[in-house]
Amino acid sequence: MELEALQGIYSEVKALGAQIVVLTPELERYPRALHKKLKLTLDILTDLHLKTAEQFRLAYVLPDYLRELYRSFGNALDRFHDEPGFRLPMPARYVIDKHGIIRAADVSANYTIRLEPSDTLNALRALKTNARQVA
Amino acid sequence: MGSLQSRLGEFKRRFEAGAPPYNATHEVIETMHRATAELEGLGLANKALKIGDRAPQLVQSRSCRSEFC
Repeated sequence: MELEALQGIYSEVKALGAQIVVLTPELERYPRALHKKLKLTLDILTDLHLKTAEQFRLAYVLPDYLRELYRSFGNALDRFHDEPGFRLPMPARYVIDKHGIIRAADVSANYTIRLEPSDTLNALRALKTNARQVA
Repeated sequence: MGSLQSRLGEFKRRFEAGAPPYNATHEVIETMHRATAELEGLGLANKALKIGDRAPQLVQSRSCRSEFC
């Protein structure tokens, strides 16, 4: 749902001179199918072994009882992520400026809560306005 | 189409009502609530990178860009 919502602001983000990059720990073949099914044009990159998630300090290890639950659903995170660790990143959305500095951040330990795409658009607009004022 | 959060809320409501195709049991839902509450309790979200921090370079990312998908 979040992917489709972000796809919905794709053109506006592009018009503001920014780019949407989605990171997932899943191996390429999994998001590829979704990318096609949802007819997405935004980029989905595989964050192999959660290396980037670690650097953003988003990665966490699933407790044993949750691994069992995932297994019972047939959700094999170890296979999807090509690692035995059963880790996930907390859902997060960052706005990063052209100097590599984080200008907006939304991180939630509750995976059912996501930031509205319109909030991200507002952050990008504010960033552009500020940049103009400085220049 | 409503807001992202309202659509997620609607999905959650149906899931927790045991709607198909998930047919989640009370036990499954309780387990998921416990896991979320525990993760929130750890305060990890406050330790993640914040506004003003330098973002790490993307490492070892392999692409699923639209033109390849």
